[in-house]
Formats: sequence, C-alpha cells, structure tokens
Amino acid sequence: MKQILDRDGHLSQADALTASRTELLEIYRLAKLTRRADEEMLRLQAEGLGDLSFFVPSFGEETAHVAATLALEFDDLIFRGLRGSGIALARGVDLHAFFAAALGCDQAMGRSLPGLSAEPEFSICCGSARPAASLMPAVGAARALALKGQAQPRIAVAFFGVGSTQHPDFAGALELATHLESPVLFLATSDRQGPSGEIAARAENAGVSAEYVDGDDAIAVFESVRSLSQIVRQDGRPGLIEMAVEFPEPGGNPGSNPAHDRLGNFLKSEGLLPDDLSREINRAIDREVVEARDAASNLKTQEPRPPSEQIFAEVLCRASADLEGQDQNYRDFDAEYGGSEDPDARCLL
Amino acid sequence: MTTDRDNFPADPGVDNRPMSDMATQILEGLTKAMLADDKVLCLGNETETQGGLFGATRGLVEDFGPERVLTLPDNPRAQLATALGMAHAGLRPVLSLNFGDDVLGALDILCDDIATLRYRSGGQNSCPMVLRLPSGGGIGAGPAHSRDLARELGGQAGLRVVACGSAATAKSLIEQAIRSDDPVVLLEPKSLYRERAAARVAELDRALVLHQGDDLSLFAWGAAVPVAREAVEQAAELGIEIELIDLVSINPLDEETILSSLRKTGRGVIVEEGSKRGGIGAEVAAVIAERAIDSLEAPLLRVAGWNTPLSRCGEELYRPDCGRVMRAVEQVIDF
Repeated sequence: MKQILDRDGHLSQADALTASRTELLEIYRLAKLTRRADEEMLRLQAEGLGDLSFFVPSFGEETAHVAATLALEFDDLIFRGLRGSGIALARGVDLHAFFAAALGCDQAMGRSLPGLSAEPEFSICCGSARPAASLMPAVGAARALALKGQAQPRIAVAFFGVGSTQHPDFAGALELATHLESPVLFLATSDRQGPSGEIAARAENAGVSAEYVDGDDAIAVFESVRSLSQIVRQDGRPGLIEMAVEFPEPGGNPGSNPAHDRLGNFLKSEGLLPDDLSREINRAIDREVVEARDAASNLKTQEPRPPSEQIFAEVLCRASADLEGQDQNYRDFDAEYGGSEDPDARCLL
Repeated sequence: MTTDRDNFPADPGVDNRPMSDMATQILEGLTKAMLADDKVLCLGNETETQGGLFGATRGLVEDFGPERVLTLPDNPRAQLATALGMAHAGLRPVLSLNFGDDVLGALDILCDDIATLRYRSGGQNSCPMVLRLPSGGGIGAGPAHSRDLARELGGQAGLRVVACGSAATAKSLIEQAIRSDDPVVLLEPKSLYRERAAARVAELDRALVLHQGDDLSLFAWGAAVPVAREAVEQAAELGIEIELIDLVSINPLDEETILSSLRKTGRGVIVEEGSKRGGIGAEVAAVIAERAIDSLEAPLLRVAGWNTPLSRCGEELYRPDCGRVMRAVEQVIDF
C-alpha cells in the first residue's frame, strides 16, 4: 500500500511530495468543510426539515475525495455516486446551493438524492444512486472525450465505493474500459479493515493499471491521482486507484478522523498550520455552514410547495400534450382547492 | 393532422419514388445523419457494427471507420451505459441491439439513468441518443427474441418511444430521432425489415392518418399496421369505410389525432402485436374512455396477441391477423 505520510503525520518519502503548500492547506480545509457540512446535513435530516429524506454522508472518505479531486484537471469529467459531498465542494460548488438542493428549495435541483445533482459548470455529471451506476457511463464518456481529439486531452473519472465492486457492472466496466482503451480513471474507496488491495488486484487482472493507496494519507492520494491521471491522459488507457480508508465505527465518534489528523499533524510540523490559523479555519467553516444552512432553511419555509412548472418541466426537451394537460389539471386543482383548510381536499394535491 | 389518402393503397405505377426495404431505409437515414453531424456515431456488438442481424448497418463501418461505428462488448448493459456516457460528453450515439428483448437486462440503466437524466438534473444534462430495437415476432425466433416492447417501454417518462409501422416512414423517423435532444427508442418490427415501400415523411410525435373513413377508427402501430391496412381493404369491399391511424409515437401518445378520429367515426378497434393485458391498446382505450366516451356508439374492441408467451411454432396464431381484425370490425359495426 502506497503511503507517504505515516499514521502520525511524518513524511516517509520526502521526494514523493510535489503538492504545494497552498494545495495541502486547501485539502485540509475542504476535508474539514465537507465533514462539517455532512454533519449538519444529518442533523437537518434528523429534524425532518424539508425534503431531506435520505442523506448519505461521506464520513471517512472525504479527505481522499477532496485530495483526489484537487489532483485532477478542472475540466476532467467526474461521475459520482452517493457520498460525494467532498467532490462537489472541492470542485467549487457553492455551499448555499449544496444545502438548497439537498433541502429541496429548488425542486428542479432537488429531484435526485442530495449530492447527486448535475454541476456542468464544474464538469460534474448528474449522479445515480444505484450501485456501480457511474462506472460504465464514465468509460463511454472517456471514449467520447478521446474521440474529440482535443489538444489538451480530458479524461473521465468515476468515484465509487466498495459496494459498487460487488456489482457485476464493476467487472463489466473494467472489461469495457480495456476494450475501448478509454482514458478513464476509476477511484475506489475501500475499507482498510477489509481485504487488502483486492479491488486494485481485480483491476490489474483485467488489464487496468492500478495502485493501492492509503486513503487516509491525503498526500499519497493526491500524488497518486495526479500521477496516474496524467498517464491515463497521455496513454489513453484506463487506470484505477484503490484508496483504503478508515470508516467511523457504528456508534463510534463520528467526529474523529484519522485522515484529517494525519494531514493536520504534518502541516503543523512543517509550520504551515499554526494554532491560530487552525482555529480560524474551523471558525470560518462553522460560519459558512451555518449561514448556508439557515439560508436554505428559510427558503424552504417560504416555499413549502413547488410551482407546477417545476414538476412538469424537463421531462422531455419539449413538453408533450399529455404533460401540458396534467400541468393544467394541477393548476386548476390548485386554484380551486389550494387554499382550502379541508385536509381531504388538500391531500389530493 | 397528417393525411395520406393519396398514397394508400400504395400504387407503384403511380408513385415514381424508389421502393426499398425497411433495413435499407434505416441505413439511408443513419448514413445521412452521420454525414450531416460528426457527433453521430453508431454503437453495437460486432454483429451490429458489421452490418447487423437485419442488415440495417451494412457498409457503415467501411464508410465511416471503426471510430464512428464502434464495436462494443456483447453486453447490453455496457452498451447502454456507454451510449449514456457518450451523450454526457456531447455525442449523439445510435445504439443497435441484436434483439429488442436484450434491453430487458438493462432496464435500470435505460429507465433510471437515461430516461430520467434531463429531469433529475433539472435540465442541465440531457441524453440525446437513439436505441434501435428489433421488436416483436415474425421470424420464428421464440419467446426470448420476439417480445413487442411497446408495453415495456411505452410508459416510461422521459423516453420517447416510436414504432415503425412501415418501411416508408423508417428513414424519416430515424433521422428525426437522431436530431432529437431526448433519448428515443425506435421499435423496428422484425416482420417489416424486408417490406418494401417508398419513403415518406412522418413526424416523431404525431400519428399518421393512413386512410380516411367515416365508419370506424382503426388504431395500430408497428407490426400491426400492415395487418390493419389489409383489413381496411377488406372492409372497403364490404362497404365499410375505415379510418386507419398509425400511432407512430407510443410515448407520448398523439391523443388529439386519436380523439379527433374517434369523435368523427364513433367506433374504434385497436390492433397491437403484443399481448393484450396491460398493453398500449389499453392505454389508448383509457384515453378514449376519459375524454371521448360520449362519442362512442359501440364498445371499443382490442385485437392483440394472446396473454401467453409467444411460441416459435404457431407464431402466426399468436399475432393478430386480418381475419381477427375483421371479426372485431364487424362486431363493432353491427353493435
């Protein structure tokens, strides 16, 4: 397993570090932000606010996701599944939009489960909640990007968890990627308590270049993704990195995070994260998250029910006659019974 | 409403347009679309990219090269997902499966990922792709390769489903399907691949009135259209003037053309190749019941496949034929 920082945050391979001071601090900040945002999202879910029915946090994976995302080129096309908060925030998705979408303030952006929305300006595709659903589309997209023959080649990247590797589509995606010689990078997070390097071994057996990396070592993740993504880009062939992370134990302290601590210890030892800066980062994150949460909560309170166009729009590129009819039906019914206090009438809406 | 009184029954002696079979019409449509737009590419397994089981892609790889006629592993899930990914990246893939039934193992990708992409992304992503599915019986391929997929796919929101009712409209439909920004399933009845007709224009979401009449409306699509045409001719000999509607679009349904015809004739028979229970015919009947029941002068009847799997031997007994359609027509007229 590739490791650059040991568990105490000591650099074991100094010459392997190419990330800049700014990049390392940004990984640290974004990983903390992701954890804090996910915690807040779970709190809102527990309170039953809005349409936040089912939120899957990225506890344990967030540092690896952030480090990997920052190591990619900005226009590399990302496919993700659930547990992708850190990916979106690392690409620059606004925290307000993140909370607003999750709470269903914007019905159109809140149609999928939280964290799966499309972010085309950040080169993030609309995700799917099904296991392994992002893998083969990423291969297809990578092949399409290669066909375009751009001067600065783009690659496609699929983030997924160990559950996806149990799905037959994982094997299908590896086969497809080698068959098509697609410039796709698979980024799998696995449980470090589980089988060691099994995902990477399966990829190697399928002919896909693979690495097994300590996913709690942000520097190892960053350097591996940066290096292998360049190989994938230049050679036009697939690659896979298995990032083994420590997930919080059920019932354990979700606030503990060995990946944060390890990177933080390293930054402190290098004089890059003095205590006052650390406190300022934490305060700023708290402020950002609370502001975004409150803004979204207020919006949700003001707009309890979506207007009809948010229900019937974007099914097809042009509204069909039957959808227009249903839209009109909804509006008519709303006009007649929308203000009714009669619960039987309202429930029909 | 599009009418076709002049062209039906077809009279090759009057019509000087060249006749060709449905596979050729599809090939011509594909070729034209690929020449017009380099974002269009064809996908399929080796059989499909080397000409196709029914010959609709023959010569394409020689004309456009293996990068635009791309051979994929023989795994429909991988094929559909590849098309989805390519659409994400800005291409317009046309995916051909050997048999339409093959899509059943990939319905989650088609229905959850492809069909809903525009909606769940709030209109920020779309999936402009065409899925060509050889559909239905007619070649003795047995129950696993003979399903009429209109019922399985026709109710899926976000998916346009179109059925070729004749060789004549196939070229027009595939060209429009490729230009559409929605995912389009093109159902190609296997029994029609060798039917020859002159090309004509059909609209992607509009039914065609193939023959006008005042006594009864006959609604059909896909492989049922030629059967219905035959019934129209037989009925005319009995003095019954049938209005024949080719639905063309299964999803969305062109309800206005259906209702307009029914309100004129007051009588209707629906013909479909697939089994009767839960079929598209039931949907057409429901639309009429909801919106035009007071125009009905007789019960609507459906002529459909039996509620059984399709048997290889005796396939002709399963699929609706002119005799069964005529019996229904006479029952409705005599009511």
